[in-house]
Amino acid sequence: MLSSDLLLAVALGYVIILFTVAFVGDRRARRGGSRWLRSPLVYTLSISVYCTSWTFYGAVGSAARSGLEFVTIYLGPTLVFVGWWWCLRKLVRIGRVHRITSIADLISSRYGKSPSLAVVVTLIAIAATTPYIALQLQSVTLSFAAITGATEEYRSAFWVAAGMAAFTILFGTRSIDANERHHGVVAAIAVEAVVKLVALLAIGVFAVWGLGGGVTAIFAEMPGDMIEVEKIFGPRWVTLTFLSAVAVLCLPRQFQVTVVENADERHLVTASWMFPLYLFLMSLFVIPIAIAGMAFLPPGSNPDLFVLNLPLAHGQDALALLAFIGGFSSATSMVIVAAIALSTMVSNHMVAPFAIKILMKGNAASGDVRELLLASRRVSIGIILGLGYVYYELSGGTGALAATGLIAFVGVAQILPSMLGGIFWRGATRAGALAGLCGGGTLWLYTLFLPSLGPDGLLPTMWLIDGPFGIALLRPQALLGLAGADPIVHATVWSLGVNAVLFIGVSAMSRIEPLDRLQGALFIDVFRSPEGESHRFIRREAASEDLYVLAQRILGAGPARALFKELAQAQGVVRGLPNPTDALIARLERELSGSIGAASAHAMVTRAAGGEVISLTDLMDIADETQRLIETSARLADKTRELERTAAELRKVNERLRRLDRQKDDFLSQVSHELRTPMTSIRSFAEILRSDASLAPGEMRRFTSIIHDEALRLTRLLDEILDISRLEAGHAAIPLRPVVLADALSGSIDTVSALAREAGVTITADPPPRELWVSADSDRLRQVLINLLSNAIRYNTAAEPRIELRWRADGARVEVDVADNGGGVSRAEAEDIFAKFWRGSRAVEGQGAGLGLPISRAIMRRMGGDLSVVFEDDGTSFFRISLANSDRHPQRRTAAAE
Amino acid sequence: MTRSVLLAEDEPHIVEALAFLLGRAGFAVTVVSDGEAAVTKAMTETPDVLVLDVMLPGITGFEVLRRLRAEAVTARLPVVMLTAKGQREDRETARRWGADMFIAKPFSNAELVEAVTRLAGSTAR
Amino acid sequence: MTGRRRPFQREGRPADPGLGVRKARDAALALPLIGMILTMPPVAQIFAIDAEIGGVPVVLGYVFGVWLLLVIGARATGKRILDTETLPEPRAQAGKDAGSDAEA
Repeated sequence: MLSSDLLLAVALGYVIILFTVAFVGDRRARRGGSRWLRSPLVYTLSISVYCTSWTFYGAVGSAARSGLEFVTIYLGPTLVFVGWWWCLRKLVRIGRVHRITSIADLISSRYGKSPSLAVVVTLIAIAATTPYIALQLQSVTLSFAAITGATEEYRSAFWVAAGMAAFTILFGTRSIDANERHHGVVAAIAVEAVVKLVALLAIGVFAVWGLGGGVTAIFAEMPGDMIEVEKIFGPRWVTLTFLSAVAVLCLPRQFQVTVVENADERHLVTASWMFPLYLFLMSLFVIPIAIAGMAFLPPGSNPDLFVLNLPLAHGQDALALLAFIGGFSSATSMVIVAAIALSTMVSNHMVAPFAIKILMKGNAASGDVRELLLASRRVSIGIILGLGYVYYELSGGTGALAATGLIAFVGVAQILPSMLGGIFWRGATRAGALAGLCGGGTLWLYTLFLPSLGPDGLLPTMWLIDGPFGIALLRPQALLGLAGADPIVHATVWSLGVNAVLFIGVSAMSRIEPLDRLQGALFIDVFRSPEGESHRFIRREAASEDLYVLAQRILGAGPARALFKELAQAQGVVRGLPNPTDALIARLERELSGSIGAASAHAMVTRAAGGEVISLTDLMDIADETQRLIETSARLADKTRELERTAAELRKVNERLRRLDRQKDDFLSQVSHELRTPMTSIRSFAEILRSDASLAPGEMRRFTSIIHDEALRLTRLLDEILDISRLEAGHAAIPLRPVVLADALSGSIDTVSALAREAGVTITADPPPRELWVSADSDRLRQVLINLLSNAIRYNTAAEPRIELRWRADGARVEVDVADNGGGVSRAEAEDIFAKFWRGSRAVEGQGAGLGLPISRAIMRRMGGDLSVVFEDDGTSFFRISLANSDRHPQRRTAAAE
Repeated sequence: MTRSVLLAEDEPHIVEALAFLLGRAGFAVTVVSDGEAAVTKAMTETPDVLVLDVMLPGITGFEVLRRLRAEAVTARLPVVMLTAKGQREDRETARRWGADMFIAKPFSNAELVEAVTRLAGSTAR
Repeated sequence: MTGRRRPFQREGRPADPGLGVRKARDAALALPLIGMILTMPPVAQIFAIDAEIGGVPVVLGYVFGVWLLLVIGARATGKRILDTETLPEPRAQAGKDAGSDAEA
């Protein structure tokens, strides 16, 4: 045991050190030599005000009671900071651009600078922070009592509260401007952050290696049921992680250090990993310390005091002292920052509106508002700490540290829907935010806050057990009969659920006020819109003198003079006051809102400047300018895609044209070749005949007949070429008429019969009925049939050549097969034979230019039919033409066709 | 000594004309009508001149030429190429593959006989 | 690799605002989601087994391991964003600077 005198002396000494640090920090900052104060390390350490005595003492207690669950409280913030790009980045930017002074200011500013919203958020924040402050007082008194062996005394709690209030008032209310950050306080907080981390690590090292005998040994001491693996990742795990993630965004003190005190957005990048690392280190030894406490301290010891009692019980007084200082640091830093944040909210949103009224009534002296506000901040700091003390007394200080902290978390979580909706959702309205906050806040009070005061608190005990007036459905901890759930999970689900539903529902149903819409656009598009361009939408008129007086009253004479001088210089005005342009009025309002919050600043400027005119059309036009920009760029992207598509199509068309061009070249080159061959013979024999007079008469006859044959071949070739060009170009329209198939077949056979007889080919045909009509051109059909038949005759090399003509009518189609026993074509050749100028392996020299089949196929296709090679299973093949079956009444058909 | 000409051409009437012309000019003419046969005959009979059509059934005249130039026996065999296409690319290809002469169809009888005679003389030397 | 890091550009965008920026942003957006998936059921449930590695319960090792990986990942992406993004300069201390002007 240590004497209470010694402990008091140490605590006092530590406080003196903190005062010195704060004092020096403030002075250095004022002189401008504050580089290390503006470093990302100090920023990160100040954020660690998140780790209060709840962490320092309570985490171990929580680990001893519920195992790994304590991790959730640090996992949530880790995820938020690691994911700073999602949300924190935007909050910090908005805070900077709009001179946000607190989270209440953020919400109020976003929703049309609404004073009532600011008050609601402030009230929720105070209600949520009060148990939290009580928690700190409790931990300090507990630790004091534990270390001195005295009984827990409310008196000591009172003095602790008083001391903290003194410190906060001294260093936290030197100025009212949000831009002039609390360097002294931040410096002290940073020192405290280091102290509490070092202290907890020291205890951890002592527990593991001093008492436990190493990592393996300490975990061997772990009670079997400490980490209940099956139950860890349940609804409580998810809820607590979520709550802690929300808390690190919404807790007034976290908003204060993360957003308001942020001097440089790049610091956030550092904090995004360094703060999670800090949390990681703070949590690292929690489980081992809890194990050591359970193993080496007498049964029944308060787990919340393991951190302190472990060194104490083993005679490590110095270590115990360090632990005490660490816990003290955790408590004080939280209380100081929370008090600053809350007092700013109270003075800006609850006192300032009255101050404005007073100011407008009388002819108060310059700077009196400023003085009034500073005074109100000092008073409210006292009140806030007093409230914490009262709560501590009321609740009896019996609750476990962790449970009390969670009540605060659920409370501030009510701000989340309005906050996220405010920075991401254009449709969010003031009415929606108000409804959500009130509904959620009320439910939180009813289901969690009031029951936490215990059976003898503000709620009658009977209400807790049987529900109000005996209505069981309204039992605070089992609303609508939802019994059996964990109280925290129950309250979270109900309050946040109702909050979100009201927020979204009312927002969707209510009208968006112009200022609401403007602020929404400026907040949501904060990364796109230039700073402070609200003056483009708000038209106001004021006398420069009035504005100057107003600035003096709020900022004080010196700063106001400096500001107006700067504004005048910017306008190019050499002497006197600047011109009261819309831009100037907006700038002034922004400067003022950094001191007294957006709502109050707006109210004051509006009074001085008379009624404002928000040009709705301008607002619609320009507030959504960024939206339009997005749409424009989307349209541009669409255009680009369209262009790309067009280009791709053009490329495809071009490719096809090129292919056609190549085909045409090939065709011409083939035509040239085909024409040159007969011409070669003609020329050669003509030259022989001309130059050689001594030819034998037989030779002369032979050569002239060759010339004649080749000339005929040339003519035929030219005819075919013309024919296929016309067919392929689609110029040669083939009029379709009903044709008697039997006539077409017999006529074709007659034509080739002489050729067939000569070649010894037998043609057998199965004559179709005369009633079978096909839709075709009679001459063209015969041309195709003759071509097929003559090919079959010419290329048939069988010993007993035979050709067979078959037909089949199948509904709308009629098919005619031309088969021969000459071996057919191979599968490989099946398509080649329809290519122009193609000569098969069975080609006989000197016959045809290879255009017969392509022409036939083109004819058939233009008559709505087809020509193809069909393969039998045994590999033989035959040609098949197909045609449309025609009506049996040619007249009607013709009439219809015409 | 009678000079020999190998004639690789698949158009019967052109073969007839060439055989008549070259026979009258005092050459012993052997005729083949496809590419494979042209290669075989050129290597076995080693004619004094080869008259080679480009468009032959089976392998083309260019391929025939390539194969002949790859063999020692026929590497220096004088070759007159005939083509009905007469395009510049054919001329270029023929030169690249090592043809000695390139004559487009329809050809002048005198020009062709003169070319064959000249090439046949060059081998005699 | 601090030597590779470019100093902050005061105006304009970095020379390469394309792929690098987008990748860094994507990483910054993905990291918390990955962390969430790994630390929440059902994924975390996989490691909720009654076993030990080197005397330390597996769950404990898993949770703290993921935590440390998130820290490392955040550091890496933060570095890349600082290399590729242009964040605004620290806000000017308007009131105070103006004040000293006035006194001068």
